Amino acid sequence: MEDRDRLDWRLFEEGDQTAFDRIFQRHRRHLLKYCSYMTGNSAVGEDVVQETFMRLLEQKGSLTIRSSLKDWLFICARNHSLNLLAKRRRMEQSLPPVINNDDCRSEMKWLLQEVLGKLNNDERDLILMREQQQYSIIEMATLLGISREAVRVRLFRIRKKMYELGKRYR
Amino acid sequence: MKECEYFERLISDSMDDLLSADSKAELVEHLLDCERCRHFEETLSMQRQLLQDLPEPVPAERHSTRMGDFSIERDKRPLWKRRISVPLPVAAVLSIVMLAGWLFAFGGLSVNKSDELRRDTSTRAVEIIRLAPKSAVKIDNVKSDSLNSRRVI
Ligand SMILES: [Zn+2]
Repeated sequence: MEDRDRLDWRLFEEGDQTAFDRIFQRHRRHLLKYCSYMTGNSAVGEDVVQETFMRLLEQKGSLTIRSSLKDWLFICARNHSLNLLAKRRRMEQSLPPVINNDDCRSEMKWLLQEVLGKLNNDERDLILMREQQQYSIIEMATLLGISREAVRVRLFRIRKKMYELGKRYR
Repeated sequence: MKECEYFERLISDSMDDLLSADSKAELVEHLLDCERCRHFEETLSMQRQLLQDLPEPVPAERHSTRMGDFSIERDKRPLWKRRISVPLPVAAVLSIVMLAGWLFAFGGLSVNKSDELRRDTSTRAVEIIRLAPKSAVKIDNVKSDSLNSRRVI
């Protein structure tokens, strides 16, 4: 566990509520980005993030973490996002762009979101983990419980698919 | 000469720092000659940049989506801060003050009014007393709710 997280978690377990808020503030943003672009809906992303921190609260006094609190939170948020997506009807496979305002006035960002929406859930998950969350191949292999070679091959296929999709949109 | 597909894999690998020095040299050499692979490489680099630059979602103000199945009641506060609305002592004091207020207001009114009205207010007082167990129930709700929150936090 990263030092600050470790310290804050200990303080929280000793009764310091503000320590939990610090953990929340430290990790909220990157989780929200993943969850929103993963589910295609920032409102859902926000709920998933809150649910994730609720789960963390429930771990008070019994949290066992293998690598880091950041990873624990990410995997929890990721599983929750994937569960929600699995419940959606197949008809609605393609996700709408998450950001639909001035923040995304660049045509390229818009296009990229369209491409992301055309990926299947597994593909979008992997590419977001790698490029947005910036997990390394080794970290991804560990977190996902698959071989590095499998991560490598799948990333290549996803990038190639995104390349082709991008061409079609242009 | 190797197929472009081979070099596409190398391009992807290079983005993950998986290339040996030899493969890197091989790729650089191919890119000098192959416009198609250069385009592939440039596009992938741009996609990576865009993915990293995707803006942080703004607090969700209900843009219409096809994700209706996900509709969940919105509340901006963190989940663990939503539970407690009124602390138990405040709720209890408020209930007593309200009860006293009602009794006083209608009792006070009735002094200057006819028997009819007095009878009316007395029924109201009875009604308030009849309602009292309900407010007690409300207090119980608040109590168990705050207990819940305490348990969760
Ligand atoms: Zn080529």
